[in-house]
Amino acid sequence: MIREKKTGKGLFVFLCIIIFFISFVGSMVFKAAYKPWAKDYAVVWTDEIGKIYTDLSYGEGEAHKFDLYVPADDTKESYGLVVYLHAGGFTTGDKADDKEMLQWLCSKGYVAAGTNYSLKNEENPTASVYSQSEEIKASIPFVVEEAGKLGYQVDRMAISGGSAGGCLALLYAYRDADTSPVPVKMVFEAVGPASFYAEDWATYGLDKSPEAAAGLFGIMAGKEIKPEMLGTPEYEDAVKDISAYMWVNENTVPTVCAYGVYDKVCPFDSSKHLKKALEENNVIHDYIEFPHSGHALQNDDKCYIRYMDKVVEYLDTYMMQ
Amino acid sequence: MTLMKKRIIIVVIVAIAGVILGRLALRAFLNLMVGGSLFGGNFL
Repeated sequence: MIREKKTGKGLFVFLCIIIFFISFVGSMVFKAAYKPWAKDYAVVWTDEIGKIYTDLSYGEGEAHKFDLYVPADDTKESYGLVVYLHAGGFTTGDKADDKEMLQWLCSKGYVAAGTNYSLKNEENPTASVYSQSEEIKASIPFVVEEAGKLGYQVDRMAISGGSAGGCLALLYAYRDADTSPVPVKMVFEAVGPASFYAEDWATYGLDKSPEAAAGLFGIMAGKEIKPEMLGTPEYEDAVKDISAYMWVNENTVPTVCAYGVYDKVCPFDSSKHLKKALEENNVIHDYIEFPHSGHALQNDDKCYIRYMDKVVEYLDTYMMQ
Repeated sequence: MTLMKKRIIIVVIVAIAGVILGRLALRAFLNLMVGGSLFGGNFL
């Protein structure tokens, strides 16, 4: 009798452990996978929505490729182009990572382009944020031309991206828009670094290690930066080509941007210069802070919905003819 | 309260604890990787 009781108790404890484990893992998976709001910004892709042309070339380099998503309706006189640049810390990532976003943009009637750029890695040790931004600049005429060849005359564009892609999108919109074959109407991006000051990047200890800061920002800028240059006008000159906020002026295009207050990858403080520049120059913009999130903007779904609603609003306002 | 009822209540409590701790653990892990606060914002 006592033995039976002990066996029953043991089985019950075992059952509790199993139930705890299933609940624990199940809730983790559910939290990671279930985003009920995401369906509003995604489509189930069919031929009725559009067609995808992959790995079109814009240069000789292996990475010089773009994918074009064109709407099924090819009867319009002209189309808006939305270029989306992938994330990956300038060292990883691929245009295919943003397939859902590009499909969604295409479903809204835009010609959407996902563009690759030469990543900094062992094969491309000299690649930098600057060289990548130059590649993006070089790619746009090819994207517009290719869309035209397919029967989609592009007469306006928006550029966008996430993280590294956001940085490159801002640089194109603020620094290179004048060189664009079609007018750049707006930019939207999330968590893209727009400035490079050691004190803002303190999460890496760069404010305390001038050598490390000079090394990192020198690699990003694609030029030699010495520790003693930090905090001088010479430093500002050295990083200007990769610091989007420095290119903001009264003619800067409407901007929607999102940043996480706890971001450790693109430190939140690095975005304050962009915010200030947009405000001081009276640029039409929405700067959305995610008060509980980091680089993945993962803890503030309501803010993410607000960000995407603003993107739609700006697209409807500035990209419609 | 019968033994069965007690056990059902315990199982429910264990399941709820599992759900809450699972969500918290994922959030803590993501926060560790990319930054973020443990509370506020989304449910857990």
